Amino acid sequence: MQQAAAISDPFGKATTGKLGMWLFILMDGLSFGGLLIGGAALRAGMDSWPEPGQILNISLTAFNTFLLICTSFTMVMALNSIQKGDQKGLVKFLTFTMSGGIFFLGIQIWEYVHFIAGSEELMHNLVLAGLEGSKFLPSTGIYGAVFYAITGFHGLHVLSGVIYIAAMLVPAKQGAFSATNYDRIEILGLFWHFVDLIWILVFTVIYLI
Amino acid sequence: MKQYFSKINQVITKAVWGIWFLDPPKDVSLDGYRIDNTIQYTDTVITFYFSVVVLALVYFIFKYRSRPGHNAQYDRGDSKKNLIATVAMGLLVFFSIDVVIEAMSFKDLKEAFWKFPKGSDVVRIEVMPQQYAWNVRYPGPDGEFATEDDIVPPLNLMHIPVNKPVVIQIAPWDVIHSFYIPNFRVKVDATPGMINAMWFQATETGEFEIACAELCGNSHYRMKGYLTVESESEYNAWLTSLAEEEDEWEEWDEWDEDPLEEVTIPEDWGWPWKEIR
Amino acid sequence: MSTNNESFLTKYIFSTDHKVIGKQFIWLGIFFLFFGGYLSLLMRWQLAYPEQAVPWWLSWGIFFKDAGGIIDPDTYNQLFTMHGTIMIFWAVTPILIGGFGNFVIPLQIGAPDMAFPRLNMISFWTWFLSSVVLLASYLLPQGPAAAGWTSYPPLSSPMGGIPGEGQTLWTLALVLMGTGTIMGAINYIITVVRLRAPGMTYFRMPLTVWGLWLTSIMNAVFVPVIAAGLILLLLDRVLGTEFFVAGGLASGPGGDPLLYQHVFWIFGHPEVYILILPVWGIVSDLLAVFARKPAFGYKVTAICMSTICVLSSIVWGHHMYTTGMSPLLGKAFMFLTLLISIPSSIFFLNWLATLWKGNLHFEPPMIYTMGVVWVFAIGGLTGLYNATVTSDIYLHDTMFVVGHFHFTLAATLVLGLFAAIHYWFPKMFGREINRTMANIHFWVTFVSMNFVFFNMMVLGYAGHHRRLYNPMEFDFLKPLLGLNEWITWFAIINGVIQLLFIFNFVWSMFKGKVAVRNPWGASTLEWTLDAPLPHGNFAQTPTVYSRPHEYSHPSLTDTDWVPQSEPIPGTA
Ligand code: HEA
Ligand code: HEA
Ligand code: CUA
Ligand SMILES: [Cu+2]
Repeated sequence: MQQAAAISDPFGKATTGKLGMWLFILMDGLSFGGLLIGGAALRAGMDSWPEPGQILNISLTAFNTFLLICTSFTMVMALNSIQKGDQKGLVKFLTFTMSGGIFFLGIQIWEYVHFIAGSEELMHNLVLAGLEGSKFLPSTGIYGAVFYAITGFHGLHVLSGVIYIAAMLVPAKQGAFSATNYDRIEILGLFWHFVDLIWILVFTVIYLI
Repeated sequence: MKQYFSKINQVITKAVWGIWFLDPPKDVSLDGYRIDNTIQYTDTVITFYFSVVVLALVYFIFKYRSRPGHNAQYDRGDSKKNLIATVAMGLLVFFSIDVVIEAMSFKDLKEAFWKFPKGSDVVRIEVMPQQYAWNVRYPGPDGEFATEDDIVPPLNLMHIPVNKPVVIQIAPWDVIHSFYIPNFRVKVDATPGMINAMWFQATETGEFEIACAELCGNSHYRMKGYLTVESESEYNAWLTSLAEEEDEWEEWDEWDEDPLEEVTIPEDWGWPWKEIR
Repeated sequence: MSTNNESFLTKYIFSTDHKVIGKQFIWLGIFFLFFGGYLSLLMRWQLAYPEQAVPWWLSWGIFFKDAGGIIDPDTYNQLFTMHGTIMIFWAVTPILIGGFGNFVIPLQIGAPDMAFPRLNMISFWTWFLSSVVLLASYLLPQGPAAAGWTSYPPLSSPMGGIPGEGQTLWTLALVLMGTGTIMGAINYIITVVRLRAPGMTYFRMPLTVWGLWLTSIMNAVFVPVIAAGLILLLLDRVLGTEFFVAGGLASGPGGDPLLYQHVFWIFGHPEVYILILPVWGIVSDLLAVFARKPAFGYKVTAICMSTICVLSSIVWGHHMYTTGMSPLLGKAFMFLTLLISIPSSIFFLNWLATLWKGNLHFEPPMIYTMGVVWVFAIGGLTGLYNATVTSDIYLHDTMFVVGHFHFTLAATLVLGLFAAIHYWFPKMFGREINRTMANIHFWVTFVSMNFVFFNMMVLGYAGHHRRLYNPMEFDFLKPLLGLNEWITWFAIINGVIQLLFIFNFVWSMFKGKVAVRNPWGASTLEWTLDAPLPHGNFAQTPTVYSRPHEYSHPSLTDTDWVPQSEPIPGTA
């Protein structure tokens, strides 16, 4: 869609699409903010809360966090490539990013499955943390509820990000982008970096404190 | 003075609201008049401002209606003078309505509704609403709640002595309810997981209805309690008789005109009294 | 810009043209306006004739058959829940924001279309999907949601005692609807920021655009918040979490029903301004058009509306005075709430001042607009009773509150959207709406509506609490039966006359007089275009020279108006 000549432009050179994505990120951030603050409020009302690492596997998730940060890096590389006109590089780095995202989701699902299937050891840990049952489920106290709600909501974002990258890979392979036409990649990058950034927050709040 | 004030207000509101004016339920509480006064003051000033609006509209419709030879006077209304005039009018509305009712309200809260009575002549009652009934609990001879000798009258019955402050603490069993006695102008929500408090004092004896004001399910509309205000001696006699008939509650249940079979009363409700504020 | 190679599907169903999408929203909204209104009549019947069979002409002989035509308590709860939800989210919001937002914003700022036309289309179809989900809950054996439009848990949680999964579909539908709203909000905001024609500065935008733009900003900020809350509620319903469950129903400690109330009203209070801001804008513009005068204190009105937006985000506690909030908080919320009456009074006075010394033309849009001035004055002023902590202790959750918000929400918004429909009808369909029918419709609607909603407040003052299936259970409410009956009959009159509106709408669409380009002599940009508007709107991007309502300018001679896209003679 062509746009009419805009009159005043307080947002510099940012394209309309990019402004739209910024706005979306702001709104999405408010949703995450709502969830995180809500979780904190619930936690404040509890007498006891499991220690970090008591139930959740910090080292595994730390690795997952590292992985996600790497994908942010590959996303920067993808943009960098196409800015130089390197279409092959774009496809390559987008694929890396997407694979990283899929890997992240895989680890997260593995963690969920492990919790939902339950085990002796898990039961032991749960009892130590003052929770009941041999499985760690969304219905396992407020702790389980907060954990699954926030990490699940974030997981959905990673999933949408992966689908989004896949959808951009198609035109990228067909050579739709060039050194002068990479706006849509930039917008994609914004979203992906946002999802990564939020994860660092989620990781800190859910796993580390 | 306060009676005089509310009379004037009442006459004005009745005159304006005309045949449709319905009195609120009779106020039988020590502090209910405060709420009535605030409402009536608001009635009066709001009626005044609304009349100004209506008169202006009628006048404009007549005076400035389009007709041959009549033209609008071009005025963008953005001079400093206009701005000052409108802001001044806005502030006038604010100071004549809002500030006054705010002051009245703050005063009433400080002197009455949020000033919980303390001391030994205060009647303390715990209430535990559940779908769809009111459980009531008195501390019994030892003056402590959640002990063996607590007195628990039959469902939906509450008695209080006249002219004595009554403090209620309330926490529901299942969903949110709201304890509402129209004749006393009081209302407080009962939210699961927290204990709320409220106080009032009756000035007349009689039997009054307790309603549930928060949607709590399909029988919300008939979640009703009976509040009996009686003299102190009658009240004490009632409590004593209940203490003696501890074991015969079942009979009381049948006596209730509205047998609520579906209501299963949770055991062991009640909590140690928490002196609030 | 050629439209001839578009198929029926891309032209009318999956169109990306903002004008078509706007009309789609309006159709959807009008359907739900009638649906929600019909539910309210059933409710009114039960309040006036408790537990008596609904007459055949109201139930069409097909509803409530198994109970002998009598509405049962569960059904009554479903009625007001769905009535409130539908009216707010599926009737008024689609018409005012989806419909007129789409139709009017690009035309009034001189843009070819929305900033993201495809997103716009997806937004509508998300909305449509959400309405399907909502209506699907009527197919469930135990019926739709029944916990009120506020759906406070634990009642709305699975343990709350409401049978069936209607509540789940309700939550899901709301989440979907929120998604559609968010997409729309992005679109409107960016369109206004980016696509204004040359010369169209912020303080030259019509106030309608101001209203819609502020509304979208509020949507962008607050809908994500409620989305988070609803997602948690949904988890409570489907995954067995207990975010909002406490007390005897909870299996463990930690849930907090009050948290939901905070989240709901942090969104819910701004939501009422989200709904009314477009109407405030439309009214400010229309008063100027039909008084043939510039909107008095244009800039001040725009600033007041913005101020109200800011204030509205910090007053949510006034819905929760009786929840046992701390005295300090209660006082703070009361003070902030009352502050809102300053900017409200200022722009209200600007409305009156616009009429002052004007040249008033009582065309149909104008009489609806003046109706808004009347009902909003009542609705706004009665908000002050509720804002006062002590009065609200008595009035909270009574029919008084219901009366207050029907004056603001129902009366103001419905009259406002009628004003808008009558005003833009010629531009939408190229024909004029029939004036006689419009006049009759206005007067009957206006009188009956005032009777219905005013007397709700009288009921509330007499102690009638809300969401009551059968008030006759209480002795102190028995004297109110007569008034309830009166209200019901006036509500039925109000309902019947809406059929005249629909008739007029459809009839005028096909048989109305063909409209001229600018029947009202309005100066905003949409009236410079001829009626069947092409996809892409302006053949040539207009340049804007003045504020949106320069009527009766002293240097004008033949006419008393000049379009925004032309300089005022002698001043350029
Ligand atoms: C569009 C909708 C809308 C609007 C605009 C408003 C506007 C206001 N509302 Fe209302 N309100 C609702 C919709 C709305 N409300 C709804 C839906 C509910 C109930 C939800 C539920 O529980 O289901 C509610 C409930 C509600 C409550 C909670 C009541 C309770 O549950 O106990 C309160 C309490 O403070 C309140 C206050 C106000 C105030 C102070 C305003 C102010 O903004 C009003 C400001 C306006 C004025 C002050 C009038 C302007 C001035 C004049 C006309 C005078 C000028 C004249 C001259 C100078 C001559 N509202
Ligand atoms: C924009 C919002 C909006 C609108 C327009 C309305 C419009 C109306 N509302 Fe409603 N209402 C709400 C929003 C709205 N309402 C909300 C949010 C609640 C709170 C819900 C809750 O508690 O959770 C509520 C609650 C509510 C109650 C309180 C229920 C209770 O607490 O027990 C009542 C009771 O009278 C009522 C009545 C009406 C009436 C008579 C109209 C009339 O104006 C409607 C007029 C329109 C029509 C009647 C439809 C058109 C005509 C037809 C379909 C033809 C009919 C055919 C024949 C007559 C044969 N509404
Ligand atoms: Cu209990 Cu309503
Ligand atoms: Cu509010």
